[in-house]
Amino acid sequence: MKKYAVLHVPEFRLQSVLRYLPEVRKEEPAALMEVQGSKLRVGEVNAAAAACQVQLGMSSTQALARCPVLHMVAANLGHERSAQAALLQTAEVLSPFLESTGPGVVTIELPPERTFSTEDFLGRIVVPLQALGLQAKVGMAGTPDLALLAARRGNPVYIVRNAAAVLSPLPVSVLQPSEELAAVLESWGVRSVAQLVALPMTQVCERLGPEAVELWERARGGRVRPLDLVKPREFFVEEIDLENFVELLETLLFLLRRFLEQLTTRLGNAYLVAGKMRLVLRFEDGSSYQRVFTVPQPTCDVDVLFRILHTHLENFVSESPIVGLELAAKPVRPGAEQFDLLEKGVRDPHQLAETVGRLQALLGPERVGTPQGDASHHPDGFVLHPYEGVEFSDEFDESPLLGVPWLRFRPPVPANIVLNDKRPAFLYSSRTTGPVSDARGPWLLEGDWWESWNWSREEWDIATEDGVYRLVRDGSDWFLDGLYA
Amino acid sequence: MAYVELHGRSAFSFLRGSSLPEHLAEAVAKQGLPAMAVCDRDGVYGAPRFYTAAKEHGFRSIVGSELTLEDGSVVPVLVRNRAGYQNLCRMVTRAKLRAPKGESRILWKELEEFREGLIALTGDTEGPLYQPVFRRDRQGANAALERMTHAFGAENVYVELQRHRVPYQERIVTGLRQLAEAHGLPVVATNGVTYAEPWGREVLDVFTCIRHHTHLDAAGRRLAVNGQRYVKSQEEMAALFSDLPEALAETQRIAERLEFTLSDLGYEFPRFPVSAGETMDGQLRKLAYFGAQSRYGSITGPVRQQLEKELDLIGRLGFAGYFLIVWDIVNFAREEGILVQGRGSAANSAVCYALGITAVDPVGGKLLFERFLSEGRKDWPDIDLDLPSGERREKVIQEVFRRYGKHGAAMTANVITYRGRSAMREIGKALNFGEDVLKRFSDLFASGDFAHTLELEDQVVQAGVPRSHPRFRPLVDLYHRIYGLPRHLGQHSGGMVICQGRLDDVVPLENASMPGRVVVQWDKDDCEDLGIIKVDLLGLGMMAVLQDAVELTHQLGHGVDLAHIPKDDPATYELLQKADTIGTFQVESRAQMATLPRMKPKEFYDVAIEVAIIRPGPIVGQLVHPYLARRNGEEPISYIHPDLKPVLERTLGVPLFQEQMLRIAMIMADFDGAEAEELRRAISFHRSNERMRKVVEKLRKNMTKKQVAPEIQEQIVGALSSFALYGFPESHAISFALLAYASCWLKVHRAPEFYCALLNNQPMGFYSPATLMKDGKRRGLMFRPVCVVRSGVQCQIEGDGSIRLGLNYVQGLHRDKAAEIVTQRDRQPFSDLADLLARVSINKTERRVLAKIGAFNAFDRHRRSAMWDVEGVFSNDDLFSGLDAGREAPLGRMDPLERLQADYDGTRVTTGPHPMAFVRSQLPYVTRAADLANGKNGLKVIIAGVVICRQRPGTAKGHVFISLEDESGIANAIVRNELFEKQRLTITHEPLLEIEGRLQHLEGVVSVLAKDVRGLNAPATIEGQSYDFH
Repeated sequence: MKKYAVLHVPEFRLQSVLRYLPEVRKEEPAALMEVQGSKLRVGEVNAAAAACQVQLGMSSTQALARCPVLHMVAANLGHERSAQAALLQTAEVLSPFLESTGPGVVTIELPPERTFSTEDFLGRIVVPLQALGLQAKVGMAGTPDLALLAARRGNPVYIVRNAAAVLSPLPVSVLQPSEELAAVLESWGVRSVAQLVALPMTQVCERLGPEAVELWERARGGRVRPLDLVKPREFFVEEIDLENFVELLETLLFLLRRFLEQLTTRLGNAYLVAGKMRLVLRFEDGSSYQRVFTVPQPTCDVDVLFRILHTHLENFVSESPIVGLELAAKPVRPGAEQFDLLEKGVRDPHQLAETVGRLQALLGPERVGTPQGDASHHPDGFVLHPYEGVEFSDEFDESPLLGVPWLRFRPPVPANIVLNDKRPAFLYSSRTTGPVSDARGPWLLEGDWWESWNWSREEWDIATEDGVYRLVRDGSDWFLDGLYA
Repeated sequence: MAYVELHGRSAFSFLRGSSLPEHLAEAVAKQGLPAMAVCDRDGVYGAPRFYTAAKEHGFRSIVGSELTLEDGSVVPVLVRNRAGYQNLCRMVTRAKLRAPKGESRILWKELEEFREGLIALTGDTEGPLYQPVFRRDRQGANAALERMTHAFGAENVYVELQRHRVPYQERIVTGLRQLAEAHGLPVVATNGVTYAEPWGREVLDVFTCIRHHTHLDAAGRRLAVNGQRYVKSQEEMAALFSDLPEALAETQRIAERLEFTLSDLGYEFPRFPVSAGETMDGQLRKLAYFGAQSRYGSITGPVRQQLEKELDLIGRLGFAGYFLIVWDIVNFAREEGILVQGRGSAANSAVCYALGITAVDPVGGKLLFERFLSEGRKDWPDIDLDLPSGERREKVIQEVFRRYGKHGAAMTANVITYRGRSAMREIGKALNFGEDVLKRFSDLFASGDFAHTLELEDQVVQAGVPRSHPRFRPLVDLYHRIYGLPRHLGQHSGGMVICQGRLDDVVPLENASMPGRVVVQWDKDDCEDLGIIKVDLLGLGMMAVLQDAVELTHQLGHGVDLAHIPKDDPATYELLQKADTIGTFQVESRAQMATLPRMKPKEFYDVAIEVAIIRPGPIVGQLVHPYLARRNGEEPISYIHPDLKPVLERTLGVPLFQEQMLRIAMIMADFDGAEAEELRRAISFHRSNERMRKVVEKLRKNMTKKQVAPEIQEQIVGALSSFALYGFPESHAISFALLAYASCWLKVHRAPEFYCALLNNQPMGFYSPATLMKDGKRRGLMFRPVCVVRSGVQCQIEGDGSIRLGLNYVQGLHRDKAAEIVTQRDRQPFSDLADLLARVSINKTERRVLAKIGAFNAFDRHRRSAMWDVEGVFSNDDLFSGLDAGREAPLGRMDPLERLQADYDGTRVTTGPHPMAFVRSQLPYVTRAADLANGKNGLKVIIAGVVICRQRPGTAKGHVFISLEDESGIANAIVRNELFEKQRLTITHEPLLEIEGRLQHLEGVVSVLAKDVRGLNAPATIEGQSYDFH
């Protein structure tokens, strides 16, 4: 006879976010807020919040009125995906036949020949997931649906021995009817599974349609159905929990090189190469560091991959010793790339990646990239886009040229100005000195007035003996900003 | 040579200007300019306010407008003469009326049609020349300019140059100069003013973001480069255009060509058609005497004297036509069976009384005619008509439209300004704050714009923006700057303007959001300032209730005539004295109910005082307590001055009415008719502190001359200041008291009709239908649930005197479907549910809700069996479909709590037990509302119930008054400001509350002074039961 176990994480979306917020303790009230209609409403609550009378569907204001210390978080799909992956990976210890049934729900077809006790589920599923920050429940029964219902009722484990006894007292909502069907049943006063199955099935199904038929089936414990099996994503991962803390770069690099050798061997056996690497360092204080490296030209070359890691870690400093590390390689098929006639590949992409990586390590990633003019009025306004190699554009700027071309001074040349009737009359600077024969301006530019870095500048075009310059006053300081051609 | 700014926009260009016209005028005066033109976008919205302010500052205001053309370009035009103004108004009206609300596109060919009397500038960045000149498209620029000269005539087109110290702008100026030279056109300098002072640029940037639905971080080059579009002095402009003095000189030459001002509007009130050989004065006289005869029975000496005095003055002021037209509207309403009553100061007029416009006898009531009309009056008197709200009022409005034509009548506008949550929401969005912050800020306002003790900065902090936030300061500063600026134009609730000839010669008209309505571009104060007559056709829910109730009394065979109900009915006064006034007019508010037991009205005039005394004016002026103390003999009656005894005698020496203020001024400061008129305007005009200051100055001067003691002067001036804020004329109080008394009388003597009419005219008043029903039940009325076999579309009275809820109370049942049920039933009664479902096309949701609330119970054993049946496979197209005839439903009956929830879900009311009855057993420590009266003053009590009203009057120092309803009645609690601030969200968001505090039981008034407020878990989900912060 087949048997199934279901892992269920209640308030899965909330839990999957809270596991990344260690500052929110388990006993503190927390709620997941989501947009319902046009309003932000409570979507999920933890037990502490429920105890404070924070209820689903409340507006954020109402929730805060009930519980002023409520932590409100937004749903995070990425966190949900990671948490789901963690569930699947954990479930794999019981059986390779897994179904990712829904968010926070994994169904496992258990080996029929083995017996499972509550302790098995506790030790192999519940506790490991707790270590990952997820409070899970487990149910075991003869059908997937019943196992799910049992899991919902689990504390944290529930093994079903008598299906009817389990189902009857449960609320109808455990059968997961649609919103409309749930509303009809509620208005009928049908609140428990027992009440539902007491109704004449044919007549109910006549009234409520095919969904009611399915509901009925679930109410009777469901049926054995083939699982929609998933295979846990095949990562090429090497990891280690260190007995002796690592404090020196050399030791870390030594370990990483060994990991790389293993990984490249495994990749090579599968005729694959590494497209990306993910490095996770876990520290003694419980924190961790993670970094993903894109390999410019996917490869299995240990030296190349090692150099990427080495460049990054050269300037890496942590406040706490490393107690564990993980290196994962994302496998890709080795590709063949051909540039077109006018396009030129970077001569040594690895060298370039290494240089960019080194710059990012030195300056911070937010300070490295390709500058592009922004849409503000600031003459030097720009935004940085991540560096993605050399790009060619077919688009030409068709806006007319404004004024004569000029040479910008980088940096601007400090200047001293003598004013006459509020207009520049004499110029002193390291570049040129002399009387100003003509001055046009001032042009006044001001921007970002709502920011602490709001700016204003005054620009003049001045003629001296040796040319026409752009003169700028920034506060009380004067600069030569450029020379007209 | 003086510079004149010829191209300015005010905040009435809606998001394209950031200063009020008054502020622009201040700046113009400060800069010493001789004139300025305000050219608001597609209209003359800000023109009247700019005109009035310019007059005060002593410079000339020029009228103009920026016109959006069919190709999107924008051309500023200036008005030369009245013909030009009329052309502008007609042209804008035509474009506005054919476009959706808020849009306008004038065709190029229309410029030709309407060009007489207009001068055109070529505009700035949105002008037709800018783009081709910027692109150096000489051909395009030539074509655009030729198009303009063709449209306006070359002699009326000026090439406009602007310099804002923006890099590369000079290239445009050069291009435009070359173009002007090539076409032989003059150039003119303007600054394209969009704000009064440089900081207005920040507000404009925010407006730009709002207009483009973006925020400051993303708006980029759509924001202004700098803040140079302010009102500049002649010197500044001369410096900017030192190379082009002729462009500056041209401004003056153009200004000289512009003769028009708004004083030359050409408005004329419609002439009332009279028969040949008859005059309007003569007609009015005949009608007045005819009416007086039937009103008074016989015309006594005082009545004749008053009529003569009024008719003489009306004749001399030329207002006869106005009275006749209002009489005509009233007559129409009467003929259509629509209840109508004049309110306000018109009730001081015997002519209005005789014409049937008002219901108050001013001769008998010794009311002051000068409050309504006086010798010195230049503007038109104000006659406001109260009509039943809803369809009946709309019928009268549509009749006025019909009589005066689409271009001859319109509603006055109502300027909606940025304030409270709307201002913060828009600014917050522009500053890129999250939706959550904005929502919480809004929620902290609770409901409506009421006097609000939470400081703005604290409110922002509580909404989740710490003071250290870099955008905290900009948010707060911008809020203050934007507060009060116009946001959009709405429609005044009832103000209509009509005109002899075409109203669109006087002011542009545009579509209102409501179909069939046309609105002028000015609000009622603007219209009044410019001498345009407004007739207010106001909708009053209580008028509808009274009319419906009276009709029901006739249907039930014990008809009532409102004009003849006895004014000395003891039972009605008993109801008032017991403050049993829920559902009545004007005396049902919490504050009124707290005063009635102290006031103990015994006669009709007491009701008028009661209506007038619980008003912000008397409350702020601290007049309520002295009046009640004097009335109850706790304080001696004194008069401010012995000479004032005849004036103040009726109100025990306390000045309560505007008429008394006018008389005081006449007696103590020898004010003549014209001065009294000034005073009247000052206390009823909301916008000008200056006007008030001048009148007070004159009052003091005259009183000093008459050697009135300084302390008496202070008392008089103090009272006057209160009236300036919230003046209330005695005649208006009496008119309202008539309605208040009638509603109380009906509540006592025709309760079923009164409650039935109340339920059919919701929402209105202070209380929800659920509360009104509970109140009716306490009076012994029976309410019956909705039933498809018995209910009408509206609530109605059944044979046993019970009130049957109408199908109009079923949530989600379309009005047409309700009517269809009744029509089909009238044709042939429904034999069973299947028959009904076969004949009436109601959908699944409607079927479900009707079953759920028990409306099908006549066919089924109980609600659940009906719910089972309506889910049966049933389709009009399916021959084999049908209900399981005769088969019993397997569902159990609803229990009482389930019925309660179903009732609230389906109708928002219940005819069953009160929700609190279900939790009573769990609240042994809670005192029932009805038992509070047995408690002693100072007793510690806990009350609990459904919140039916939260009020935070501006006059109550931030205290909040909460009414909790339970199954026994209503308990009132006072929450002090400090406690409110501490538990603001609990108080404003919980539908049920438990309040702990001390009982206050004084002079028959019972309330609880709250010490703690807690949310109470509801036995059912109850929403929308509380009417908050009126």
